[in-house]
Amino acid sequence: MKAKAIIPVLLMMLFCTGCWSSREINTLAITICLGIDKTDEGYLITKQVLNPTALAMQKGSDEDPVVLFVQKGENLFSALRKIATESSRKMYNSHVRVVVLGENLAREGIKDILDFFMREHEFRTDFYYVIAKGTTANEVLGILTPLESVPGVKLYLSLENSERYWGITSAINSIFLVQSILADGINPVLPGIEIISKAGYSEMENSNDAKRLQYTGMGVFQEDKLIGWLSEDEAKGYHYIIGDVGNYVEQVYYNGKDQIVCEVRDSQSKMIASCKDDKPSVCVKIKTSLNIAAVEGVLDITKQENRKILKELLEKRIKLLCEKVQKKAQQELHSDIFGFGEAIHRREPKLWKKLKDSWDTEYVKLPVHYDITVEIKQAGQISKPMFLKEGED
Amino acid sequence: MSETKITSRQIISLTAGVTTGGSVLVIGALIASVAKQDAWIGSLLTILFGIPVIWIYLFLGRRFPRMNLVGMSRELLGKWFGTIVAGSFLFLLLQMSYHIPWYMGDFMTSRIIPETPHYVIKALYIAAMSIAILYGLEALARASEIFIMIASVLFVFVMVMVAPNAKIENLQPVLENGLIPVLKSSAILSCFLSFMTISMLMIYPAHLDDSKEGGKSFLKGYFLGGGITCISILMSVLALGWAITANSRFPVFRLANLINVGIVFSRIEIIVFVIWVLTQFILSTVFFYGFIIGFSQLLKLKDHKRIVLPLALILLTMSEVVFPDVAYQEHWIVYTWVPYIFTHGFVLPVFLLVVYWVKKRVLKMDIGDNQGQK
Repeated sequence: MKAKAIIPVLLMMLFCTGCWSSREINTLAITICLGIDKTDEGYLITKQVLNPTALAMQKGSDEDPVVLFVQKGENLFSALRKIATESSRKMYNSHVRVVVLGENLAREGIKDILDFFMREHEFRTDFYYVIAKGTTANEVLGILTPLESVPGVKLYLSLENSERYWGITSAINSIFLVQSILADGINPVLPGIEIISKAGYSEMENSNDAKRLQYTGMGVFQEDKLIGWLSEDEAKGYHYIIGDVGNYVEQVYYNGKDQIVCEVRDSQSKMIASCKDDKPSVCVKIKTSLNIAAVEGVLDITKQENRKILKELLEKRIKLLCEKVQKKAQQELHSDIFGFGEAIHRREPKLWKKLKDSWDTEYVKLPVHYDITVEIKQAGQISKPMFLKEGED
Repeated sequence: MSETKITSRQIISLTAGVTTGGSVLVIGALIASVAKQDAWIGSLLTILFGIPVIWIYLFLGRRFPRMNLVGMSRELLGKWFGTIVAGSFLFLLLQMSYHIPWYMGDFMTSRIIPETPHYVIKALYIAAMSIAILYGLEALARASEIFIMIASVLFVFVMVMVAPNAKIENLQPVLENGLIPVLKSSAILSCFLSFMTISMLMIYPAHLDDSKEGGKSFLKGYFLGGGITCISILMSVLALGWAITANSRFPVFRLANLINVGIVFSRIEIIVFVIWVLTQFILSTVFFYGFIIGFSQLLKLKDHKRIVLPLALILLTMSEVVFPDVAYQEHWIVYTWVPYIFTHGFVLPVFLLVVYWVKKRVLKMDIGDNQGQK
């Protein structure tokens, strides 16, 4: 009986030798970055793939840390698959960090691309989208980056950093992007990346190193089509309005000469829609707390009345930033990037039903009010300005 | 009728498995497409609406504490008509037992291991189901206790991890389109949640010592399973928004995609799959067990275990041909499954109840067994 039972067990072992679809790591080409451009026939794909041999070397090697694959195709999938004709390894897409979209493509619309990314099982939803401002994704991915040996990782990390510390970009993943394209009362924005070459970098040995990648402002979309750009200041204002603010630097001038520099600790915003005689309006409440980072000049910030002045100056400054971007979005770009429409939708669903279809024209005349409160929390390691003499004020 | 006895705690885990298994991974999409941002209200209402349904099941169970549904319908409706009704119900059980392996194959090949043939995955799954039934109901019940514990812990873990992505704005405005779509969605959800538990009538109360205690456990299990489904729908809408939830084939899987807490807790969506497999396994095995028990009862077989293996082969073949493609399946779910399970999960027990009352009160017949009502 026991001997008989062993036979099926042995037979079973034959079929349990491992995963059917297993792919060993040394047979994979791990994609870290994907660039998409529009061409006449379809898409031009640029794929940045990790080069494990070069990455494993401790000291610099002759090989580049990443390998680029470029292919054309009538659609994304066929272009991606065509890479098989030049790569010895099968592509693995689950680790894509950043997708770079060429500006031409973004202007023509990105709906079709998003459908592919949401459908295909290897792509997750946690990577970020950026737009190659004034250039192609192909060029952007061709640039090697300092500090991080893998350019894709650099794109990812500096995107997160510049969102947190400089406030001109937003890290936006598939979910958020699709949500804001689908909803009627909000339009998406995506960060833009530029190739810059500065004189200061030319001492590097390699001439290619003189080129750097830098995030600059944000692209504004109407539905899924890129229609314009926000400058750095406008992008900052945008973040204040939507309340997604990191540790920004904010500076104000007192009497036109004393410069006070502050670091934003925390900033929250609330959009409150209201309705009077079927006319919608939105009030944006912003609450910001800051630390003083530097005082260039002689304003004694320890004095109560000076703090009050400083507070008012900062409130004015933030309001100015917000109004500037709001004006541009309403009058120049006609795109509701802040989600004012959604705020009305949430608060006044009945009114929104009427407005929904004509929102693009209604939005342009929507009155927006600001209610800004600033709190100054700390003043750093010193209290008065270091070189303020007694009695001088 | 049977010597095998299970504890009332095992009734909790079996019911919870049956309630969760059919719905947790996929149903959010359908509910969100009907009720939009109010899907969570719909799912809460479903749990409430399910209580009277469960009450009917329990009532029938308490009147016939030694029978399963097949026995009840034969007792109440007479030999011939009762057999036809029971046969129809058994066919539903059989159908579900090969639908679930189809889902398993579909999910595995579209999300996890796309190069593996359907057939292999289903064969392994059905093999596990058959082994469970060959071991007997006690083994299945004990396994379900462990499974539900693991699944609940993992579920709580996933939902906590995904919580930072939740945005309350995704739920607003509440009741934008009125109550009707919400009620509609909860009617649909009932077909995957409350009515599924009719399969438990093949186990409860025949295999239970104390059918009153078992009734409480039945409700507890129902609340546990319903709660898991409800929270999964709520979190999907909170984190993904209703539009993406409605458009995803496996919304909870996509939801778990978002998890990124620290660097440690990321890329753990496979946990959702584990939860699904565990509960799904309880569901399909309970259905399959119900079918085998009922079928051998109709055929007056002495040992129900003899027909497990041939039926397993039938399941394997049927699971391969049942749905030609995904579009057909999605259509079938809405237009066939909903009335189908409604007939068997609601109309049938209500009909039995009416017949019972008529026979007992109007015709004053001595019917039912009041032993369980002590």
